[in-house]
Amino acid sequence: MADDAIVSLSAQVLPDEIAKTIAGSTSITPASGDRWYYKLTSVTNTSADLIDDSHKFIEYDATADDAGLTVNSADKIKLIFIKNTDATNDVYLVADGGTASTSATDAIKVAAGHSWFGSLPNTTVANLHAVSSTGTLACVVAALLEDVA
Amino acid sequence: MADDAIITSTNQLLPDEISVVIDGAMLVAPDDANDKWYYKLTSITTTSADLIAGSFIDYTAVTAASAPSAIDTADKVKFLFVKNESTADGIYLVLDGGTASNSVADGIFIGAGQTFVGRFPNTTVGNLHAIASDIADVGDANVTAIVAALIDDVA
Repeated sequence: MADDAIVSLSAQVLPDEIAKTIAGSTSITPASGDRWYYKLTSVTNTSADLIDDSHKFIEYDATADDAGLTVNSADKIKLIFIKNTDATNDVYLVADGGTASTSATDAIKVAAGHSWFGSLPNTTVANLHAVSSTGTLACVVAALLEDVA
Repeated sequence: MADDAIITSTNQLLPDEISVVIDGAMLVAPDDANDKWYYKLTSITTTSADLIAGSFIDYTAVTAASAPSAIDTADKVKFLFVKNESTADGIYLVLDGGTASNSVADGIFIGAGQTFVGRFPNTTVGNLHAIASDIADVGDANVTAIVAALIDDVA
């Protein structure tokens, strides 16, 4: 389908003696009103929104110059992809609007040099928070958002 | 390292006109002998419940008569792999001990036939809940999923 997010992965799991590589995938086809977002994002050591709600979507319907739509804090995250480009420091995410921290009980860890994707169809832009373990680092952030607001 | 979880991925993103494929990776090495593997072909029902229960797969030698170490609800999920084998129904996960459902605000959705990986270093086994569900509706049937995890045996 057009404009899909397609993740293909290979996962080696289990102890070495019985290690198994399993192939998997996730694909999401945009529904009407779903729009792409991209930003090379600085993640700081203070918990904050991962997705910028003042940023414009990447339009894939033809629009007039300067007529693009802006992300809203109430828009929902059908797919999030994040690649931590830092060589040393980690990123922690929370999806419930709480404070992101290295000790948050529901934190998702994206370690240095690692990437992560997930489908969070009920999570709003305002509720996805991120923090670095130390300092400020750069992350590739792409998302397919449901433009509900 | 020995006994690692190793994930490689290709991620096709953005609208077709500027579509890009970004390579991704995740490598989780056990920190010590307390990080242990778990595997189960799991039946996930339409009632929210713990995703993980049972025993570890030992990778330090134990006698044949020794029972495998039991997983405790306080153990922590350092790495999780879930492959949804259903062709019709999805799975919602929550990490905070809440009730998994199709409407939960922080739910992670794994669609039919789709695969998910993640690292949740502070999430306990007792707080990782799952339910069989459609993305925006309650589930119709139980779902079979391949579940593998690297768990910190803290309790």
